[in-house]
Amino acid sequence: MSIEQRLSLGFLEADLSFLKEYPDDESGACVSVAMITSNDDLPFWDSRNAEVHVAHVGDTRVLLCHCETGHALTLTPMHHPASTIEADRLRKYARSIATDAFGQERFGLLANTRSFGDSRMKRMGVSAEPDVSTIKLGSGIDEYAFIVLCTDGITSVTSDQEIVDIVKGSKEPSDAAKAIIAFAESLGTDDNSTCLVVRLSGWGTKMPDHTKDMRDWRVANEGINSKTSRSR
Amino acid sequence: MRVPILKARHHLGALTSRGDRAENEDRFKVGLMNEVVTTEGLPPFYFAIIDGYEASLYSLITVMEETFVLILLSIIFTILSRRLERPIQNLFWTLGGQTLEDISDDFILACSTVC
Repeated sequence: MSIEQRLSLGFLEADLSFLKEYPDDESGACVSVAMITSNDDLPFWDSRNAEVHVAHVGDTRVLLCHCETGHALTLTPMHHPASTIEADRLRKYARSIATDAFGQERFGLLANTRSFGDSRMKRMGVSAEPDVSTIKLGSGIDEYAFIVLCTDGITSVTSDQEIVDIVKGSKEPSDAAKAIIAFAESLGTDDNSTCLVVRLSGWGTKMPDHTKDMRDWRVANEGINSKTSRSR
Repeated sequence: MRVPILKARHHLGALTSRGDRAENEDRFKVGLMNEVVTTEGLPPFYFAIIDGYEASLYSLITVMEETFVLILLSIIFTILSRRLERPIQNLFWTLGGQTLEDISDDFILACSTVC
């Protein structure tokens, strides 16, 4: 049994034990887990022969920054009714998917097609089976600078590339986490936001900032302190 | 020298913010799988974020902790099996005819005996 299979089983098992123990509890949760196993006995910030395993359920997100291009690599697919794979899956259980006034597809009252808990929605096809992926961390083309894990409070107002570019401009991972949350809050997110920035072997590599002008423009024009902002 | 991972500013940045909501229902958890320290090599690190909703805080924490206990158990088991090269492949992942519940009891039992 591989790590991927065990991660899947761990997620399902955790969900099942919660549903059994609290059958009347309707709360839910989205979870992303990244695990780093190194093959050369060096810790994750030094290792150039390691693997990162990601298991994911819901709308949280895990991003890797590729050293050679500076691009964001998203390891977590969206578990939302707008995703064709998820919508196809749900159609087997439900008769229809409603579209709300904003054109957003909603499945019942829920915006996630997979989650922990959520006992009301389980019979409609919502499950806690994770999407699992594995990426090799090495040198050269396989080198990555850092991992970012963040919740939807951040990703609802920023793009993946913007998040990665903010980290590139930071001295330390802890400054990067602060800068990401500050950026999301300046764009007016009102949800809880959480962010983890994990240093990998490629940290500090010179990489182009692809979205600097865009971010400056957004803070000036869409931000909560901007004069032209109409929404707030 | 040992430094708690959450205070290692150069290696990890972790921050959570309540935003405009009444309560912060996000959680994160970071750690080293110490339980496999007895075997050779470096135990793996894990990083996790949890975004709870419609939650009474109590149940959310329960979801979280049960999740991680189980995930950790399962992963520990994998790593042990890899390091010890034990042929435990077909012991548990045999869903045919059994429910997940049937398997899980054996599964946890087996984890604790191997550890």
